[in-house]
Amino acid sequence: MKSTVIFEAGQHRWIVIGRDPEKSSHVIDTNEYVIVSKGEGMLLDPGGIEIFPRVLAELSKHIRLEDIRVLFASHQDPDIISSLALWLDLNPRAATYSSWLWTAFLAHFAARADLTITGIPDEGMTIKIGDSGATVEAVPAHYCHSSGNFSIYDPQAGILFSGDIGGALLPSHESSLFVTNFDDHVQYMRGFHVRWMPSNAALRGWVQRVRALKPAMICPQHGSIFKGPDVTKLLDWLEGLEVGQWGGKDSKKDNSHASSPGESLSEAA
Amino acid sequence: MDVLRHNHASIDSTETGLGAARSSEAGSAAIAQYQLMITRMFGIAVDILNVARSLESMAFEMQLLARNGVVQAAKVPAGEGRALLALAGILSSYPGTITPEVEGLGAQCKAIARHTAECTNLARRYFQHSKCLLTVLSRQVAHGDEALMTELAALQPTHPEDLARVLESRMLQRADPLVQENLLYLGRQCLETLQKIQELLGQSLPFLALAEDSVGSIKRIGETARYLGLCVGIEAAHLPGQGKTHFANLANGITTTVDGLNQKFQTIRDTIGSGRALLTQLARGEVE
Repeated sequence: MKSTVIFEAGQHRWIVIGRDPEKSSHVIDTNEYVIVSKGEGMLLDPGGIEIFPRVLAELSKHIRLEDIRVLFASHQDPDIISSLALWLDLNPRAATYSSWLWTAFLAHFAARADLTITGIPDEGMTIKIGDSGATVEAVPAHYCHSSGNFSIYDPQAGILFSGDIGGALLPSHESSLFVTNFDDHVQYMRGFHVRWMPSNAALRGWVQRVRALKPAMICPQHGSIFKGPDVTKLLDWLEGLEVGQWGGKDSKKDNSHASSPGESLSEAA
Repeated sequence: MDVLRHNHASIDSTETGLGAARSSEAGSAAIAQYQLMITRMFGIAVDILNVARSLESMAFEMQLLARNGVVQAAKVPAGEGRALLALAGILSSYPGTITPEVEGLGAQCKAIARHTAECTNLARRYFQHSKCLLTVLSRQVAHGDEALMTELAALQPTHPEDLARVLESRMLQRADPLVQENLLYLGRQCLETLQKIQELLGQSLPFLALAEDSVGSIKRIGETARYLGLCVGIEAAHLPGQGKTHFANLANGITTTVDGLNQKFQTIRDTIGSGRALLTQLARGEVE
């Protein structure tokens, strides 16, 4: 597992933890992000149980574990937040945020009677990192993958954490942390979006909201990070993408054998 | 200021030595095994509980047999049937005395199952937290220092005293101050969890002893029922025709049921025996 500082200005830092060569091949590769602001930390999509020890080992180089004050789950999937109980054991003071739609579901991951998950309303909200840290914005991304879905925008860093949007299934953990050739990268993103994202209208809406924010970097939970001109390229590409497809939707194909997600995904890609 | 610092904070684990990886993996494997042993103990408690529940149904079977005996005894002419009526009456009320013992056994098994279930949950977390602790210790702290690697390789992560020793050892002083503080924080939590696990396991041992007492009481009840069944057989020996057959069947039925009970007692006793051995091992932090 590697950790890399992707932004630093005074007491405000973004760190990405990922590219795990030790993870089992059947576990999807993920990026875990940490914002450390004035010594207080916010974990964005802390990840699954399987990778928890290695994420924690890397994190311990960057922040006092006691100072992790916010846990954020962009949505409800296990690769996003199934490690919740383990993080809360370490730091019961940490506040957990996710879409209001999922709070009662996420409680199944927590195994604590005293758990409180703050439900983010559909329109989004601001989240303060601890007592003295920066404030970030939860940006609605509903139906851009999950029906209750949020991105996080940090105005101080100009970074947007996009969750599964912009995600890619890269061929190996050695792939670059940042997108180096957008056109080449599309092949790893296409299937991921076409199959796992249900709504064109929702995606167009999200693109509009994000364009207005003018982020300098877009950080997905899978794959590589977009920065500089690649941010615009990503938004343009997403705006023209037809999502919500699977093998069965294309009438020109023989649909009878497009039965598994893997098959559908490769066809879509 | 947008500082894209790619590798300053990166430590690629693939660059670290095999020794570091091995000692951390061995520690994690021991904890994983410990976790499995706790799960097995949970299974043992459930096994005893299931057999205990089947005892109750056998007791009910015996009671039905005896009640039938009461009915049959009532048909026997007054003088000859009095003794049989009395015996069958005692016999029919006797299996009922098993119920509170079986309930007691059930309560003890449930307590063990509850404790071990809680331990399983704690052990699962301990596994993840201590895996991180061992990873950081072996790859970031002890790495490159043979003496520290040896010290780490000797660590038995299911022994609280070993864990406590590491937290006070010079190993931590080598770490960067932030990592050192985090290791202490994490280590103290691991220690607390491990102590809680072993405390709960230790508390389960007396329940196992009580369960064994309950099994002994139930066995005595069964043996008394067998004796009463035998008396019924003797009393019925001089009855004419069908009456004799009825009561001989009753006596045989009681004997067969008590034999069945005895087999189950032996199963429970064996299970309790292996449970006790396993619990003792677990409470001491020993791994197979």
